[in-house]
Amino acid sequence: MDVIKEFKVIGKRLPSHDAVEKATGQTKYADDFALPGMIYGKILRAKYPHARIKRIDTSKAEKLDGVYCVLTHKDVPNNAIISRFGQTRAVGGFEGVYRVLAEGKVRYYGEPVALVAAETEEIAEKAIDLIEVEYEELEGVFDPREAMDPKAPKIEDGKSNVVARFKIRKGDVAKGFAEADVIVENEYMSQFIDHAYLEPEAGVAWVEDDGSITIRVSTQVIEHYREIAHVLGIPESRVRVITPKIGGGFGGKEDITVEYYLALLAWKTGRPVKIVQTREESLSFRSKRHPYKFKYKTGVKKDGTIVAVEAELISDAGAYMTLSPWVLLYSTVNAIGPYNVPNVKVDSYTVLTNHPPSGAYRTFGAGQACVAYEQQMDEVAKKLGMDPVEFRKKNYLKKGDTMANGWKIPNTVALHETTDLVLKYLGKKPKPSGPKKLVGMGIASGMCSYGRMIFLHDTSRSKVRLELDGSVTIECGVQDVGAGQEASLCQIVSEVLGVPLKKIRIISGDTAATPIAGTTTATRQLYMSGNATYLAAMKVRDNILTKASEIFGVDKSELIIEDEKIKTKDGKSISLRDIAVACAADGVELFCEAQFNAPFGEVPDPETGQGRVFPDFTYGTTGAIVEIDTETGEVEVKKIASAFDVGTAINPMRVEGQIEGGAAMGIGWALTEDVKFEKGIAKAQSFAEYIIATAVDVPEIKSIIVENHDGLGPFGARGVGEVVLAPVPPAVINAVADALGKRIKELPITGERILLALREKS
Amino acid sequence: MEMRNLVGTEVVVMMRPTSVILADFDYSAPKSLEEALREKKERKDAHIIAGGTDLIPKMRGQVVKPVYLIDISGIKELEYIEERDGQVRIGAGTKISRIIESKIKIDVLQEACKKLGNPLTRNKATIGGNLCNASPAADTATPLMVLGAELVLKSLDGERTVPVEKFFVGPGKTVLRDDEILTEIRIPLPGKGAKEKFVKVGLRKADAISVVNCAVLLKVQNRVIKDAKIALGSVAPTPILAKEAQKTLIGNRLSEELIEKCAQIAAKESKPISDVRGSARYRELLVEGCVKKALRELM
Repeated sequence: MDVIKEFKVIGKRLPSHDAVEKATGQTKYADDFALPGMIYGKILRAKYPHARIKRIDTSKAEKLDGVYCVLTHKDVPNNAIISRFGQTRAVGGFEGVYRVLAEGKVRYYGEPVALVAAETEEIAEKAIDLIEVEYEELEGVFDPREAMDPKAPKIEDGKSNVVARFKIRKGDVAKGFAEADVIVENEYMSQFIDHAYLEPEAGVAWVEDDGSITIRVSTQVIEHYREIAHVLGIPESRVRVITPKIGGGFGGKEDITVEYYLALLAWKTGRPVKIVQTREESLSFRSKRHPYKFKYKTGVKKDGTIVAVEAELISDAGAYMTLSPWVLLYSTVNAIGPYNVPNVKVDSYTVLTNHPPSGAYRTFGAGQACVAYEQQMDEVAKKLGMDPVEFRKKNYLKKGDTMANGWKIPNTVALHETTDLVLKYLGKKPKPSGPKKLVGMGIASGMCSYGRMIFLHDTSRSKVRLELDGSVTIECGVQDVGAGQEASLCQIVSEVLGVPLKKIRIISGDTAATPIAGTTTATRQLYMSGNATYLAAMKVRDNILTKASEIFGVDKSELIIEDEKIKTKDGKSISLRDIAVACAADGVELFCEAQFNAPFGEVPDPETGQGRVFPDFTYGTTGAIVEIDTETGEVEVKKIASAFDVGTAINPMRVEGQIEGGAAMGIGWALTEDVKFEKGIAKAQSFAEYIIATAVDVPEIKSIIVENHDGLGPFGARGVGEVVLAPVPPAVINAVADALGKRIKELPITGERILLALREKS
Repeated sequence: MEMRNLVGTEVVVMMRPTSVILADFDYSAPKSLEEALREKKERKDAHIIAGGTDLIPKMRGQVVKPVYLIDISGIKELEYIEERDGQVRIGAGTKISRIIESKIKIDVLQEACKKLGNPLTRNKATIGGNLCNASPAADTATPLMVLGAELVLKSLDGERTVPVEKFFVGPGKTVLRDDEILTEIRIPLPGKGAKEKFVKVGLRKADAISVVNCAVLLKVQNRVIKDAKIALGSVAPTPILAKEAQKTLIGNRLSEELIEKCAQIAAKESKPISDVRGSARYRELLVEGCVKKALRELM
């Protein structure tokens, strides 16, 4: 594939085509859209975290003037469905029952029970209050360890709450621990975190003239149209999902959000319907990052060589299984981190509780594992009396090593390099700025896969068309969540076809108009759709070069494409416009729809966890310096530096944007963010209580890009969207522990926890 | 569906927060104070709205269901900062951002205003609204208390002045009568030798409600403290003056030991509760920390 050796567009800091439109507020997001005759949908939500529904009476709501319909589970053609998440291949054991509207009982506080569509939002809100639901409260379970007890209340009647478990068995841990000079055991945890995207879940649905249904919705997965069709009981070809530009996803729009409700209400009323969830609904009732409880036992030799790791991971799946088994598999494969460990035993469980369903969230479980293993690395180093950086360097994975799941790494692991670059930037630990202050420095390394699990047999398609005036149209079903998914494809085509960005238009995210490109999840779009787009553009390039070689009478390999021209070495040239016209006249195809297939594989062995799970990984390091005020417990993050081997940066500006965003998100995870569920009810219901970092809480972030050009993406790129977050929380946590001289194991490490810990010490 | 939401130490029961305001209310936007006072006398059940940064979220949450709203944001005569008769006078309708930008210096109040909310709220919120909302965590209350400010409460039948520390009765409750509107804040000029400091701890550096805030004003002569005021926010049903702590300072020179002692007494004087932002124990420790910080700055 490496025909193009010297890049003219790849690696350049070119502004995205939609940057100005977004900065000036012109972009039309899901809520910025209306149709004539549009009505409004609202959701009635459960009042209890666990209760039987004795009776639902919608008659009063139905009689309210302006109400078009009130729906309960009885009105949903297929209410109980198997949740599948936009994958091309069904995989047994990973899919659970999901209910569109609560049926028989409610399993979490805020579970949708009924839907209303009405002429105005006010009427719809009033109608919601008129629906009578009689509940019989049931005992709930809110701790996954308690929920594992066979005597615990059951979320799915008659079935175990443990919905998935994985194992990894590599080498012999008993032998490993017997050889160890030092053994360190610890428990860690990670909390409920909200995605906190700027744009809450929203969309508009309408019925077309031919009776098919169209849903314009903020989603990372337009391919949910298949499940929507199934819920409505109509053919998949009669449902179209369009996603406009997305105001942030981070995994929270990977599950279905409002699509079913929109589709049902539009279907029943025949009117265009809009639903926009409030921030409170989004914060309290939508999926969250899985909380985890970890147990780690690490055996090391005196010289710092790790000989064995044993880990137990328990995640809180919430009330429906949704993506939990898959998230758990990510955590399991990532449980050891980027370290070479000969003897590994991992046991992991995901357990139903009466919390809202946990779901995908940037790093998909790899980040939670990183929070645990990177704290453990510091704790082991401390016990050994070894510098934590030296300890890590002694054990970093390298090319040719075997991961815990038996996968032999075929390409570069540049962790020594990323760590050295981070340390060089951070410099020596500074002195405290005042008398009642403590300074700490922390480091963490992490890894995250890009591309989906290979047993899903993932594919992506993209279409590139050279227009007769030499401009280019790309059609690709990517969902642009704001990370530049569209812009990267444009940059790839610009490089391959020698067309300037301003002459490229991309049409994305429409199941009826664009080739299916799969989900914008799993850091897969640059890898998958980037490769598909590259293949399509290369085919068009080959066609026009073939034509040009006929015209000039030289071999294709003698021709170059640049500046909208095809040139020969002796100075002759033809414009793209003229070659397009020439091709069209002779019936040469000026377009190509190409499909890229990821490596295909099978589910790993359930007893040993041995087997390749991912196409590849991206690795990197974050360092943090913090200062703590010992009188108030306040933490100030003074510096963050992150370095990642991104293979090839298609656009360094966008890579830096991802690194900076990951850092800001990671600071919140470590220090302030917590949905604070109490008996299944969120205490943080708005951004006044759910504390994300603001501009003044985030320090200057040093983004360091390492390029070893051996990733699986186009031009050797690796994915960066998720990995950039993974090492940030543990780096900040380790810095706080360094400052305090002790570790606070509950997250987030709030000022309160710090101040109370300081008081305990003195 | 009831959702419990806690604002400062004030417990607010949020009903189901809606995307639109459900309350059916009448609305008027008088152009003069006199007109507003007349309406307030006629409609004693009316709510006053100025910047709306506190009231609108409460209306969305169905915590407040007004039947009549008098919008005073268009009354220009309530927006001013001026120095007169040894006092700084601030119109109740003056925006927080304008107080920050004012050339008339009232350091401790301006410091507090800079830490109130975020730029968007500061451009809408008014000082009168921050006081009348009567949150125990109100950032402008504690500075005004140490400054010895008085509030002018007007009705059609006349006016009265109330010291700011007597204005608050409980969370969300003040001495304002049904027919009265807060029109002006009068701040005596602190005079020479006065030093002030405001310290706030929120859950982040900006756009945060005070977990604890503290304002301190000292009048010092020949390094001896002649007068001391310490006000604490978000540690009791209303902002309070730590009177015992104040006493320990008067007649003494500031030293590390005295600061330590004073801070501990202030912590004992606070009566915090636990809420979504922090436990009572944490707040007690924060009172100690904030008082120490403020006093050390003034040493």
